[in-house]
Amino acid sequence: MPVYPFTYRPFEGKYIRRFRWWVVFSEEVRLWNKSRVFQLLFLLGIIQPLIRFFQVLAYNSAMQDPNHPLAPLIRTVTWLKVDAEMYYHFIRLQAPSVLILLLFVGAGAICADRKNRLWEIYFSKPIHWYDYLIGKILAVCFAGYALTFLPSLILMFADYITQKNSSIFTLVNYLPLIWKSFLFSSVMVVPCALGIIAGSSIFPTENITVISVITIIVANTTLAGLLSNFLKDANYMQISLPVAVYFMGQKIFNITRNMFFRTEDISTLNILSYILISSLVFLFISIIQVRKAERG
Amino acid sequence: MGYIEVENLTVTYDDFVAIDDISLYIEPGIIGLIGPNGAGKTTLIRTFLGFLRPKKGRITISGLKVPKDILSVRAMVGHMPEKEVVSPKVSGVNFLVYCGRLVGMSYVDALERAHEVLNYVGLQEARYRPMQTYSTGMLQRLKLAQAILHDPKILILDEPTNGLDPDGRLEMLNLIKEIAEQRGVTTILSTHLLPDVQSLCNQVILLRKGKVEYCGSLKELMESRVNQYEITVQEPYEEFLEALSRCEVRYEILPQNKISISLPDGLDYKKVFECARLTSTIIRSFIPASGNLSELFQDSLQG
Repeated sequence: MPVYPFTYRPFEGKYIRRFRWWVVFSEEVRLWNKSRVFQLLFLLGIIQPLIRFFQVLAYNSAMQDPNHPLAPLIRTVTWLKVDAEMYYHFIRLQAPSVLILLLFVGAGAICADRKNRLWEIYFSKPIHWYDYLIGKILAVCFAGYALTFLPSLILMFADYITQKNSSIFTLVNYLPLIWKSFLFSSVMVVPCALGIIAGSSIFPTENITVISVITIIVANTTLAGLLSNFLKDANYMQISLPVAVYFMGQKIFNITRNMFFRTEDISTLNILSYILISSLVFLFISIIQVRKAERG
Repeated sequence: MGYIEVENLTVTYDDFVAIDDISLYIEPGIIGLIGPNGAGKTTLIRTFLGFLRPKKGRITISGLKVPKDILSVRAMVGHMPEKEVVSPKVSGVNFLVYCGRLVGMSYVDALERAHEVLNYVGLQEARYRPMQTYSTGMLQRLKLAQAILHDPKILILDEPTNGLDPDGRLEMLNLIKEIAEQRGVTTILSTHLLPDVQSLCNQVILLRKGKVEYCGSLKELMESRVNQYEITVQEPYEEFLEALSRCEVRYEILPQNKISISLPDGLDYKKVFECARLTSTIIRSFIPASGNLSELFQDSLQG
């Protein structure tokens, strides 16, 4: 620990003008990384990836060894199969964990700064409102990807190394799956992160943000359920944002089995537009709030 | 050395005019920004920092235009806000490192600088404690530390001695004086505490209802009142007033037998006592009006 003199020296170092959002991003990650609650939520969130990891190991061992005691069982149980659909279900089932983790890391991202009057200090430094907002959004998205896309990559890697005939060339076979996992993770994580950040930018406290976001999701899905029940048309479920996200996942992974709608009537473009427009509205709300703080 | 030039500046909140067509030039030095509540002090500071957009007029800070070059302006300005700022679970040193990195310092530079500045403001023992455990005085020092962290050319301090005990206030004033004088940082001190301005500043800007009442040297402002006195007399004093009038002394009768007098140039204050002796009037107190910024402030506001 160096001993510093009790004087005030001029600063002679250099200033880094670019990628200021990285500072905001890294500070956010550093802050919630130290939190016990975050660590606990993250551990809960990686329970499914751990189970899937053992599923991959067990499936590949059993499938490659006809004499394996578990081979007959694994062959008959279809949901133990390791294929593209497994990755779809893996990411889909991560949704509750993602929502809870994102609520924890994102609900206070902006409102805590405003409540603690930190905006006045941060924006008196040479950063743009968009550096600040990009840093916050990317940090929240990163938490989401840490429970969806990153475990998918690990599962794919586990699958790759446990294959008997794996070589550097077979890695290429995973590229479509990597892309699909990334797309589905993004469709799930990005609107959720943007919605939470938008809530954080307009509501005064973390608790109110969490309650409001959960209320909006529940109300949205309840409305969709009520409409589809009363009007006897399952396609009204597309109003529900979570269902729309799951549907997009089905499309991304080419799963033809109908889970939510009478699929013959449903337009993928409509649902994609619905998710995109919702995300843009959330982004727009955040931009207005943060820009107002920086520029008046 | 930083300077600020303001030309015909008007800032409004919807229909309310907070700053009304003001022009001023802030020279390097320590400048006191004073005025009653709602005078427009904080609005002016927020406009300097680009948080508010002027409706009309021009601001130039060391040759850079606001809000056009606002990022460069913010890089050379250190701002200490008035209200309490706290990032509850973050330690003082981490908070400063974050502020330093926001300015554009590398992590290593920011960390080194944070330790150095925390030592300088006297928070060396508390640097690793979370900010939620800091007292008001410590938070004030931390706010000053983040403002001077990047070696600004201009320092804008909004009520820096708020909530400090007398010792803490003196230490804060000494720190500000040292930064301003030894490092040549142009310091704008917005405060309600006129003794702070009197002890530190060499320039004063007096704002009232969004207008500049006075902008200039504090010394000149004080000297402008060198021939003014406030006297208390015993009744009757009508003849005494007539005698003063004959000597071209201007006066104003105040409550409780007090009279504010202004002597013409060249007239010695002893002449007042002579008038009292000739009219058999008893003078119970005789106080020079200069030397007290509070009275100047009150006079300016009443005028």
